[in-house]
Amino acid sequence: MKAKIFAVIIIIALGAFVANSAKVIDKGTEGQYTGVKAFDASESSGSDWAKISEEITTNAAEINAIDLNALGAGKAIKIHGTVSEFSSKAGGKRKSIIITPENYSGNMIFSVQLGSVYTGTSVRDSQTIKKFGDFTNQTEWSQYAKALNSQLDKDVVTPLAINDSIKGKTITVIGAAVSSGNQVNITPVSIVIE
Amino acid sequence: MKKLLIAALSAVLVVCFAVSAFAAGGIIYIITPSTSNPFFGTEQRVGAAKVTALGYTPKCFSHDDDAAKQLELFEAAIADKAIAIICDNAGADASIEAIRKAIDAKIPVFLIDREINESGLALAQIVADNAQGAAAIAEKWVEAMDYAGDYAELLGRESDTNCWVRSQNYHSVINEYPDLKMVAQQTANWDQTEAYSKTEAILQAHPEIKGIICGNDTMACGATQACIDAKRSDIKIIGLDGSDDAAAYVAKGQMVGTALQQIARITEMAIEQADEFIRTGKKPAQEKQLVPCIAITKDNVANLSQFVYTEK
Repeated sequence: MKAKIFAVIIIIALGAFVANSAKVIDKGTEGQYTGVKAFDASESSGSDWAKISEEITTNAAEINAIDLNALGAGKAIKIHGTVSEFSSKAGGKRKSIIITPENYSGNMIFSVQLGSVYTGTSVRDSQTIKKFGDFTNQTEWSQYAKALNSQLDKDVVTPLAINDSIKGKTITVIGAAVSSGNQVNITPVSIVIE
Repeated sequence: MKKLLIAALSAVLVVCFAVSAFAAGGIIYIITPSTSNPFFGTEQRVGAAKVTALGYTPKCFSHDDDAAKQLELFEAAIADKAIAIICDNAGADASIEAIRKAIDAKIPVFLIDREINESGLALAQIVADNAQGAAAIAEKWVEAMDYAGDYAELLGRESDTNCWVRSQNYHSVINEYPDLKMVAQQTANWDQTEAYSKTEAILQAHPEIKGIICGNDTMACGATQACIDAKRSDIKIIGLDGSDDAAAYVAKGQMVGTALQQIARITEMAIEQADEFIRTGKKPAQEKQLVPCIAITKDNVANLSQFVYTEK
């Protein structure tokens, strides 16, 4: 009998210890306990997007008016022409089109990426609304670039549901561009298909 | 008349002092990690040349990633009446004391390559955009992998900020593709020999892997050599730094690529900003400055030499 009572007391004591000693905090809710708020790139990019889109649109240079070999980390450009190619790789995650521009006699190839995965940081690097110094570190700055790309995918590209049928259509794209060799890669902030 | 004479003499004295000070230049310390790593050797080589070209006297030292030794070197710079210190520091927190001592002694400090965890001390913190560089070369790597396959990762020293910045940004790209699966992740501590032996072990445990991502070029070179020796030249490997050793593998198609940290440019920028501050008192517009990395693949590797990228 004594042994049974002793065992019950031990079990109750152990239960109380476990209940009080370990509190599992769900991932992402740490800030409720520490007061430290995790950086949310999408929150920042979402509130900046309208201004950034407007700035790139306002500053967009015609392709004949700039040195396409000196676009740096990102420059706002505008291109008008005909879609000559559509391609889709990586299970549709890497879609792009090639535009043959009107009134252009150079040898550059103009590619526009259409997601859903975007490469590069040209949109971030062609705007002046936010700068690196506004962020705590390189990782946040990098996440901000990625969040801007997600924002443009949601607002600009996805609603158009672009597929192979776009070939041959006339198009106007405004976006942030970088160049590599003889290729200009554009991340769009505005697409108008005629 | 007397007042006019005194004013004229004062003006002449000020001009003479300014001219002699400019002509005499001054000592600029360049303090880096060990130059046995060519990356840091470039900092001292390019830095000394730029300092000399601007009319100053360079003094180059290595702290060997030892914060105590770094502090001694800063104290030596103060005793030497250096007019500026260019430093690739020995730790984001551990370096703050040394930098504060220099600032208290009115010696401006310009940091290169690595940040510290405090703003408002150094006049400039000029670093390569590791996050952008890692993402840029990861984009080339996923294309080379054709967006699918098992792979391994060799991490740098886990206590080092750049280890995680690079890894996180590799994965920010790679994890978008669910058919790319990481089957092994080990640290090789930025070290070539360790990377070689870890790669040998990974190849035995996971012969199915198609790729290896490495936190720096030193490890990438070790991994590449291990794959060559194991007759697994099919494995797609990337690193980050832009070293000549990695460039040689890239040129032969034995590595997919690397991301060049433009350390020669970064060093020159720091010295140009130090020169401007010494001459005019003008501080850099921004303390924290990021210099983009350049993705290097077989297509453009011919443009790279000694951490300098020259478009041909």
